[in-house]
Amino acid sequence: MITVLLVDDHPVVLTGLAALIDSDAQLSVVGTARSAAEARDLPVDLEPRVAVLDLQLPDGDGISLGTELKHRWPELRVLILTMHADEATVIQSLASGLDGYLLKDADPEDVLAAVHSAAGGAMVVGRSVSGYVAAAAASAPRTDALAVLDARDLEILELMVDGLPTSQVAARLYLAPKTIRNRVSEMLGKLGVGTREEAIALGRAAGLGVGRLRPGQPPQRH
Amino acid sequence: MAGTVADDTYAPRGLSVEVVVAGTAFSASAGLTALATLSSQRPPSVLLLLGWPLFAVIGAVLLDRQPGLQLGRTLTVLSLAPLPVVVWSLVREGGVTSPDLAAAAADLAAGLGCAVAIAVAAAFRPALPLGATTMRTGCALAATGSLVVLASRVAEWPRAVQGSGWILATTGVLITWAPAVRSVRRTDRTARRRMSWLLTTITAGATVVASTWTFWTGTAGFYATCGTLVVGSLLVAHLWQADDFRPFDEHLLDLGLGFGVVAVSAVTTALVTVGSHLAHRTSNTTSVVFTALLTAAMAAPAALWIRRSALAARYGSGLIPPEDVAAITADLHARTEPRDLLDNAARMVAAASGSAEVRIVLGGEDPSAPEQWVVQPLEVGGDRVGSLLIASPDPEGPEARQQQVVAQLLPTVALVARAVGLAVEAEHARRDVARERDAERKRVMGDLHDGLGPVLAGMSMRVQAALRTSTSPEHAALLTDLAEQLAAGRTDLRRIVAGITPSTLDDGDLDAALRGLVESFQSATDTPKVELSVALSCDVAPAIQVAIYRSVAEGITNALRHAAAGTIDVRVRALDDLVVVDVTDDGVGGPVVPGVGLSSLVRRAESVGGRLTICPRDRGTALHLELPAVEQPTNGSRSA
Repeated sequence: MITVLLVDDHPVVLTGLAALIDSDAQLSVVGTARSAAEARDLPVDLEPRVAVLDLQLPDGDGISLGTELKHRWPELRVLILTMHADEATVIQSLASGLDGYLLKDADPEDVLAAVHSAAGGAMVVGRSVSGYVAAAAASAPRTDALAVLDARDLEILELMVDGLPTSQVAARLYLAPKTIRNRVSEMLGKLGVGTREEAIALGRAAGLGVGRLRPGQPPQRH
Repeated sequence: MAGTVADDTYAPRGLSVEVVVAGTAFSASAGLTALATLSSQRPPSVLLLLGWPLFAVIGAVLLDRQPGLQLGRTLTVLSLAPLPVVVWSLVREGGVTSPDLAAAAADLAAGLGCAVAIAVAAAFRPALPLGATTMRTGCALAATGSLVVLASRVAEWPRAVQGSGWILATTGVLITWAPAVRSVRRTDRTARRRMSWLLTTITAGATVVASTWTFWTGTAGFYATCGTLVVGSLLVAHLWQADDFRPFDEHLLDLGLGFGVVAVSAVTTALVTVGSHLAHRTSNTTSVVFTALLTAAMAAPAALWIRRSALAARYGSGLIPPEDVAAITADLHARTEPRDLLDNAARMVAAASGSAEVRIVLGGEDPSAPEQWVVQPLEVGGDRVGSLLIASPDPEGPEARQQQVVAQLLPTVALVARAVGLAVEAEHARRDVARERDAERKRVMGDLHDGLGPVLAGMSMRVQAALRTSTSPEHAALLTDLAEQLAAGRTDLRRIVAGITPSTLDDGDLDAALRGLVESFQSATDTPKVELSVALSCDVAPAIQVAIYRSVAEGITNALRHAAAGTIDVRVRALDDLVVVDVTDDGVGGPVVPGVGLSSLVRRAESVGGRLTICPRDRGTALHLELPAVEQPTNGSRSA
């Protein structure tokens, strides 16, 4: 019998998951928790074989909770179960020594198979799961660091990302250099960064400056 | 001082006491002069008296313009100069026609000439680097000298006394004027040119008077002195009034061209005369004069043309022809960047005013101009909409004439700047609205994904669990149905969420985003085969990527929903500057009624300068999309 611990703050998921796992003759849910704190309060002699953790908990994240639980029960195998997936999180969870990563969106049979595989010592990012991960990575909404800026700011930031100094940004936008400097400092305030370079890095990370200045195009209009 | 007069709008003030005094002085002076000159036995020296009454007229004009003006008062007093001469000659019992009058009047003129020089210096004092002490010293010396000269003449003192009077007066004038001459280089352009003119006038007048007295006999000297006084006083009054002066070389050019015309005329006339002599024909005066006039009349247009060309090279054309004004905004509708219009306008201002470079800067702030640049505010209805920056080849800025041209063009340029500013603001607003719409969509979809997703997932698991433990076949059938429907629901949700801008696109990776999209469709069991080929060689702007992504998502969804297709073919490729997207299926086909999804795609494609067409075919449907690789807002979207 493989003992399973479930941690998820969403009641419907928790109930569904528990029912699903209990429906498998070889699996048994020995404990459930709605938060990281509840999970930590579980008795040590529970000794679950597999823990299925939600990535986002109200009081912490699944990855650090997983590492913590692994310290507590060295034999424990940890699966991350989430609605969100992007490559960085998958890599981070696996690099932290966790044993699998799968989506709540996966077919229930796949979830059961993943628990079995994890209990058997395999790392679970199976083919079907990875397909979901890729699809979910494409669909997961992400916060936009530049959402606080308006089009006027973006126009300036874009030219800064293209590597133009203030004087040339001003010439391109037909504004006074003083105006540009004022707007840039306003922009830094909005972005909550201290220097131009940080703002440029944010802009570049958000994909600004793509397709504006192509190699054949002169960098300056004047 | 001169500037203040030019800036004030001239308003008649009625007759002031000063003007009345000046008028009376004129009457007295002119009356006495008339008394002297009307005499039947008048000597030529009386001509000297003719120059003086005019000073009162000029004084009256100046005092009317600016009450209390020292120059005006001094000129008024100067006009009374004939008075002591005439009175003195009467007292000497020789009457106004006494021959002594000649020498006396000559001395008087010279002495008063010093006074004129001092008065002029005093009037121009704000333009001169004169300290009060220097001024007083100079004036005192000149006045004392003049008085000594006059007194020695009246009291018949020895010539040595008279000579020392002359030295004193000359020293006084030199003290007053020397710093002015020295400082000409240091002052600003207008003051420098005024000073140059003043010195030129005085030097030329003094030279004319001195040379005529030296080289000709008496009568010519009287005429020259009288004429110089008249012309000199007029010029001084004019110099005091004028507030901008053309560069000196332009006058030299005018002079040179005038001489040129005369020279051409003279040479031709000489040739004609010589020719007629050689032909043994006597040339009469009429024909010579006619030849001279004709040649001058023919040479004059050429001289005028040279002058106009030289001035145009320096100042530009001075005006913008209507077709050029029209050209500023001619291709407005085809412009992707409204700010290009500013370049057009700046080029035209530069061409019209002959400025080295002209720039237009938007915004209400005063831009800090570089050295040698002049800033002109651009205003529409009292609001500052931008600035015109003008670089002049001259370190002291544009000439007055160029500034006039620029001033005439300012309202037009301001309107262009305003229009461009509004267009830029409208474009910003359009982008902000689009971004807000996208952000809102993402937020809604995020809520949907995070809220509905887990519920569907949990229910799926629970149904699956129930199915696995169910013993009743009836329940099993129901649960299987439910499981399938829940699976379909999850796929739908994934598809809807994926149809909105995916986060991979934020990294600029269109290829990966499209692969993820196709994969999400493939994961459902009953979907047809989706074939994807992406061949893009150039960078694609973010807004274009989003448009491509959504079109593909909508195309596939439509094919799935309505067409019952077996294969869906998605091809994205670059064609010159365009990105072409084709989504074709082999489904039912037939006429397509655009729903909300398709209509919004058509609008989105148009808003980034592209075109989306849907062609029903015999078998299946083809969605064809053409987009520029770089976003190009259209007029329609700009006004939206």
